[in-house]
Amino acid sequence: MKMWNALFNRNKLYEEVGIENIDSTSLYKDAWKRFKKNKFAMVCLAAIVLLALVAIFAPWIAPHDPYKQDVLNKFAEPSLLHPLGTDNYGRDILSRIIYGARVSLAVGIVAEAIAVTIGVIVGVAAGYYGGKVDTVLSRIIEVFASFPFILFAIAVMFILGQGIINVFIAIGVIGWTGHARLIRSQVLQLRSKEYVEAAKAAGSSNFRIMLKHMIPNCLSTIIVITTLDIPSDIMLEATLSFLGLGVAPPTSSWGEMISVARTFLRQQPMFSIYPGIAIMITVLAFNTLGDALRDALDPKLKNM
Amino acid sequence: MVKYFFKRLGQALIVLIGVTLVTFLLLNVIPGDPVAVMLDKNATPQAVENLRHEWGLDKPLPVQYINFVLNAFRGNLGTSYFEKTPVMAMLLSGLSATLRLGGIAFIFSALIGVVCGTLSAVFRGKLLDRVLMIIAMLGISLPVFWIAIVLQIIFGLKLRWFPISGIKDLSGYILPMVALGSTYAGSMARLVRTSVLEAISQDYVKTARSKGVSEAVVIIKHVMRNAAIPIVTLSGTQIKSILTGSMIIETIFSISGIGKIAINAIMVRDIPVIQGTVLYTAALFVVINLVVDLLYGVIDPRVRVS
Repeated sequence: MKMWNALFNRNKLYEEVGIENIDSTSLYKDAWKRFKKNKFAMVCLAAIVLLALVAIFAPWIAPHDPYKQDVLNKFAEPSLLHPLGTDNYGRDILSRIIYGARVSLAVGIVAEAIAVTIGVIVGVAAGYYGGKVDTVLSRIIEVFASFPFILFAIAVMFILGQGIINVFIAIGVIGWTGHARLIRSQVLQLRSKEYVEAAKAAGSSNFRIMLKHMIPNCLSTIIVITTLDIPSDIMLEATLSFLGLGVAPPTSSWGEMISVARTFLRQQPMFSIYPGIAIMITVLAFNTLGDALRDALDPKLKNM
Repeated sequence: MVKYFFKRLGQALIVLIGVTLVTFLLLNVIPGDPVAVMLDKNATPQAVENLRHEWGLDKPLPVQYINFVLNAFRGNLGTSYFEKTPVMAMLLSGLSATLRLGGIAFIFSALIGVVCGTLSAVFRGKLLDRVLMIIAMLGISLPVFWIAIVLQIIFGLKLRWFPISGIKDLSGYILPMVALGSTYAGSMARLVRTSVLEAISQDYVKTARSKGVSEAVVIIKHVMRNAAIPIVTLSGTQIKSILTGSMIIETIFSISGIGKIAINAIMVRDIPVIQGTVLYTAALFVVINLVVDLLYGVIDPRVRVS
């Protein structure tokens, strides 16, 4: 929110000084114009909105209770009553997939928020202060980047135990290194700009310069990397749950469903297919959205 | 180059020390006494004490850490609580399986990625480009473990062409290789396409074409060489992702590599084995990063200066 306030206040500042027709958000307006031209990206944006609505209104949309077992009716074939059939406990697969969207999106949002916060703080500090601070922070980034993503997350889940909050933490504390690196290199370029010197000359504190100048100027990068990282977080959650180290049962998660389905490949092969398609659509939508945002926000790549 | 080499080497050493510190701390905040896990509930306090002494767990943490690092550098990671075999021996046998699978999956993904990416760039905007890029995007968006399961259903259970678990002969490698390689082939193809497109629009390519050099020579000699830099960087990331992905694939196809060892160890709380796998894969990643950076310096001399 602070980032948006910084942008907003700048507009107000222009108004106060009496300069009109200067639109400091024009970058974002231009970007939106470019973005709208990308039809496939618009479809993906709509898909994400739809998915979010499905996740929020899951109790009203799902045809059945995702936890209600009906052992007499296990591995039911798709029918009007159970559009995708039932699982090994006779639970409705469609309802479980709908509820699974909640876990995936929550992980995408919360875990990514943790990763972005750490990444931005470390990246801005390293790039802005430079020197010893940069050396130390860069080595810390490298240390965390050296751990295999999945193995580290597995180890953290092992220590903390199953549960969605722990999944947020496990993914958040390992997922920030890429963000920190990118932001650091951007801030390195930004800090020699005239307006930074001007701000310093005007007596702005380092903290203020970072908050009001560095972060708003990195905002488009932050938006793009966040969007492009959400799918990998969703994928990682699915993988953890697939390995039995993600959300705690009976919470339904797409990865956990595939893991269960794996045991019953011979009885009900389609059972393992549906959650995978759900993951694919979600990840594809976020990836495409991220690509389109990058093309729209980063004019250097505009003509590619 | 020599200066750059030593600077990078020094950094890698510092990172390696950081890795040991994080691994050690990570595994020492585990709730519950590891000794209690190993012994049954009726063990006498004396037996617990003896075991703690035997494992060096009665010493202060900094001493334990230093012992851990010294032992790790000597290749001694202790013995598995359950298998009673040295962790190092388990790791080495697992590593060879993982590297073999990862190696062929990497070659598979790199070949497909470079060929498809280049074709896509050369036929930019045409139908072939569209189709290849959609397939690449689908590959990236599918979880590795799901692709593996679908392959098992189609080629293992229905068609019965390939075995669905274990590696007895070469045919056992096919499904894991395809499952593991397809995701990374997708991201490779996309990056190759972008880098080739970037290189293709450079002035020296126009010059070469206007000299009358044939298109194939232009692409191979002028475009590919300049597109190689981002590709080498991605290869580093790629190898790491493939090794990580291999851990999941090993579990699905019952291949006894590092991943299966690590995941089994986690299920039974075998701490020395977990510690060993985390530490050694991280160390391997530090080495891969170092090699990629040094290669980068060889290919692009501009890197050494900064």
